[in-house]
Amino acid sequence: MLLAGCGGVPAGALKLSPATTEHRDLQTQRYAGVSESRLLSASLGVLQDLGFTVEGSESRLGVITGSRKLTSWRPLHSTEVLSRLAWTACVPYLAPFAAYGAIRGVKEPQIVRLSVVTRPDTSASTSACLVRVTAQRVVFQNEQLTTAKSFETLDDPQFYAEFFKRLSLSVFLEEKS
Amino acid sequence: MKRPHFFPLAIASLLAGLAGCGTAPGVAVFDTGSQVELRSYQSRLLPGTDREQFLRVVISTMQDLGFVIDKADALLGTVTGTKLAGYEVRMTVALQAQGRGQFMVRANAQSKSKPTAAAVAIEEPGPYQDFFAALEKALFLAAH
Repeated sequence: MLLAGCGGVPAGALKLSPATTEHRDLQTQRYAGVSESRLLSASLGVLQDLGFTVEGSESRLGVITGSRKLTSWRPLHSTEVLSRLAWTACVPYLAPFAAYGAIRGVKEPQIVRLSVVTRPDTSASTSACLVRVTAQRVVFQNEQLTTAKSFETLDDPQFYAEFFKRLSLSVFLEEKS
Repeated sequence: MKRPHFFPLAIASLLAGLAGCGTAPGVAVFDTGSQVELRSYQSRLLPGTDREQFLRVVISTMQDLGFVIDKADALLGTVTGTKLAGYEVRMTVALQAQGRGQFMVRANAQSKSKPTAAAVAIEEPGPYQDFFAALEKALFLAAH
């Protein structure tokens, strides 16, 4: 029902959502007194610090794109916890394995991609630039990254807060050098 | 007793007939629907004079829609991005100056409904209308 037509694209995939402003605020940081070229250079430094490979850039438009392969562990979802409890109830000697699995979480081999986009802040009277980061990941079923399992947008506020913290530090370090 | 010869002949004829049903890889590239109709969905004439400024608004709009920008080329006037949100949409937007303070903007996109699905071109008008509505809004806000 969510799919419109035979193209398979969900209705509203290219429509602005009510959460657009909230996401924009989360993904954007303003830097006063820093030129766009310096901000781009500092962003590049952060990407490299984090182990990202730069896939492309267009400095005239303030764009840098990078990706990184990594493996993380996520906590179990409630349905996964229930399923493990059910297995343990049926086969009690599986309890230690279920407990270990619950503590360890679920392994997620993935590729994270992000783009950093800078632009001059024309709304301010003083010289300032805006940086906006958008990020996403493809989670795979295996470490060889051959079978994709899910496509996700990264909208965790902590991710963006940490990125901008590192970018501020990078801007500071570039100014000192 | 001699076996009749018509059976192998019939199989050979059938195979020869079916061989024409496939599409050669080179020809498949050109196997798109109505080109004129598709262009009309995908294109819009929009006001603008500064190419780089216009491209920055396109990038900002795509970010508002949840895209990560894959590539951008200021000289060629193109921006390509990918959106992942359970599904995948990959879209390219290209600008062409038309004179008289206007740009012809053309967008074309492909989607995958899930990671295991094949990518298909988006040929319905709806998603393009949504994109241009968002872009027009962003252009208006950038100009005022």
